[in-house]
Amino acid sequence: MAKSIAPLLEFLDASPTPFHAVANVAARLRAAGYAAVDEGARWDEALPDKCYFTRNGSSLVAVALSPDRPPAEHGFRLVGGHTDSPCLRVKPNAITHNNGYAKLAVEVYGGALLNPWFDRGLGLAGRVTLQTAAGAIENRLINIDKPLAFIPSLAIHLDRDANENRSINKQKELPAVLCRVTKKAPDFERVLRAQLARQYRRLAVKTILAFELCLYDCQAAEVVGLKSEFIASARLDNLLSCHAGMEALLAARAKNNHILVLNDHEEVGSASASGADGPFLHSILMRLCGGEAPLAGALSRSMLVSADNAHGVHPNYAHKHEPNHQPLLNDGPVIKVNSNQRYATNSETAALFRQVCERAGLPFQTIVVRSDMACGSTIGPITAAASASEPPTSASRNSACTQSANSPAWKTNTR
Amino acid sequence: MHSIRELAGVEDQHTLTAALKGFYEMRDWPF
Repeated sequence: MAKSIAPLLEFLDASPTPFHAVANVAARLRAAGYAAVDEGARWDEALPDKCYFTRNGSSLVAVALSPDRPPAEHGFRLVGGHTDSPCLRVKPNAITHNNGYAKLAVEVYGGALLNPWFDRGLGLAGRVTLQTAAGAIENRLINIDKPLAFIPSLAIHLDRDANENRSINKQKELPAVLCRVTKKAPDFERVLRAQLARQYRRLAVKTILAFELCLYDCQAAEVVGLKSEFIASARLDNLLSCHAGMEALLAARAKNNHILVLNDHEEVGSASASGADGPFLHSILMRLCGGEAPLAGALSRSMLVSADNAHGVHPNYAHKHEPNHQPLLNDGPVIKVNSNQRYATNSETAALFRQVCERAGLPFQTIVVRSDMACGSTIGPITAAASASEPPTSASRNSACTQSANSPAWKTNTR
Repeated sequence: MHSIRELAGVEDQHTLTAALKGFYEMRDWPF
């Protein structure tokens, strides 16, 4: 395994939820000298040149300002990604039981491919909001990094059509088996309290008030393939881009005003207080510029790379790709184009990214979806629209220009 | 994407990081 890929694999394994991803990015930024700033701190206080903000613990905006480049005059260079991935989230009344088994009730978060969630060990991680014995209300992240749950498939003998016509009822077939029940079902709060005690030895919990918890695949990220040229992992979409954006931010020389924005809730449409369709980024940029007018000036000189994954052509399903646009793994970043603005790339921004790659001696690729298939989307168009300065008619040139640059990746199963 | 386990290229992670670094540092762009 190449040594330099190890930090990415560690980041993937240590980030089973958006909360963990943001905590890990924040820790890396602090180690590199970035100061944590409370979004609620007074606006008239001077900000460090290198700092970061978080919202909901699941979105993050990192800032590195160039001392000789006032934002209103020179704008920003922004890279955006998202911290969330489709998964199974635990329902508030978590335990259900029947036929002698206790199960965890879950709902599907985002557009998950459900079949692969069966027949593998599932861990549990996320955020618990609690009241301490001293009366304080706190958030704590937990990670039960062991296969405590399992969703078994129905045997082929009981479903002879499984390989031809399998459909999944999300309510009935996804509850994850936890254990046999002999006398009474397990108390989920006790499970959480035990984990909190393991992770936070000095924490005295009075009441667990609420939680946001996800099941996740316990199998670690790994390098695979005959030539060890592939990464197999959960949450590549979009922790790959989060990690690449973070490393790029930390490595970049201070030639511009650099922003890294990592939003939660992309997989469910981005419309939330911490999502790309919310006010988080705009609020930070306004603060950096000191008002609407200088912000408008800054945005007119700003560009954003929306970094997400592109579908590499799957050799068993090549017909699903547009014949002239079939990205290959390890052949370089992909510029995503969609004339209906599912991606915000235009000729100027595509040319810009091409220039960036060529100057660095990097290969690049381009993808367009087949004309007879629906196109996906990501935070690029949403961020561009949400950050557009007035007048809106100038958005294509005089607000945040947006580019999609992506690492190609395969789905391990098609959808 | 969106499977519980996905596949990506090792080298792509390095090239994407380098491209984003180059984007951050790029000054001479006319638009």
